[in-house]
Amino acid sequence: MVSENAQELPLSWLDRAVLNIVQSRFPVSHSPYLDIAKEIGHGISEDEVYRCIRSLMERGIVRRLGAVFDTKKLGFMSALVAMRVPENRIDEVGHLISSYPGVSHNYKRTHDYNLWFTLAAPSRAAMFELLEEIKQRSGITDILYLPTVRMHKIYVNFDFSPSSSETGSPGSHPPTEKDD
Amino acid sequence: MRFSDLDKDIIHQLQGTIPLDTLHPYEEIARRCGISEEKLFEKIALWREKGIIRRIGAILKHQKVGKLYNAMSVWRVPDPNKATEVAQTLMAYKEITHCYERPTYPEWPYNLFAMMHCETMQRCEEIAREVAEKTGVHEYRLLLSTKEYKKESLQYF
Repeated sequence: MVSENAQELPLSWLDRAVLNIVQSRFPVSHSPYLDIAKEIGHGISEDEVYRCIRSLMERGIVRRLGAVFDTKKLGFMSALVAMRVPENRIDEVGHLISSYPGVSHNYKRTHDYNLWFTLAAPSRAAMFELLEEIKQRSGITDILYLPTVRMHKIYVNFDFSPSSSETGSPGSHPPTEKDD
Repeated sequence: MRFSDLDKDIIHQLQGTIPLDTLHPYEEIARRCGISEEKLFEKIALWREKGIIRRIGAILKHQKVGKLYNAMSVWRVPDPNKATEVAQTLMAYKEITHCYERPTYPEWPYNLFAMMHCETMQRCEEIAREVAEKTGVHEYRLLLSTKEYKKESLQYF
């Protein structure tokens, strides 16, 4: 999917240095911003890191700063679900599906099964109740229930080290070595 | 594992975005939950150890950092060993972020799912072609997302 803001947003040297750290771990400590500043070095202050992170959130580059829980270990089960929806009803049904709190991701995709979403529920019984309710409310009965049988990988990390940038950095700091 | 009301309060505070109006976000979370910051740190450490918390960090908006195209590749690989091989071949690409096996149905024969985030659509197609070549598995489809209706982190409690 191409977003409306498809062009790469300019990231400063500090943006990249901060993202490289916080995308995998935001310190669990009394003064996490100070810890990040120390790790970055180059005389960066706690307040600069704090303002940088707030700015990354305001610009929508960071969607959320918090904990990623293991849904299963919290006692929830989740599944991918696909629906075959008539083209003229896709938006209506898409919005209906999105209204469920157990739905976290919901996309229209290029296939006869054209609506794909993830559904979480506190139990198997609750999951099937939800699916039944969705069938009744949407009138769509052609649904694929696709729970994970086996997981091969789940981790997203992008390389923000300044050297990886083609656009260059507006900041005046020297490039650093990649630290991984 | 059973979660107490306090546990649920803590999860509630951590499942969204931590308080951003302070330099000491955990102190604020602890205050909201009525516990000490040390007690909160203990809980977080325990949950990390048990894998209940996978990580604490930033969740990025992919589209905004230059990863523009999101494609779901699906592969028909009935043999489990072969499925592992295809999964490993797929995961060698940095554009592949998730790889799962899922059940099949008469109307849905694809059991292996791999999510791709690529800078161009051509790159997504190229990866799929290369993996098909390398593994000899040619029954695959690329499902592009043409509209995002929802993308959020789950709210548990």
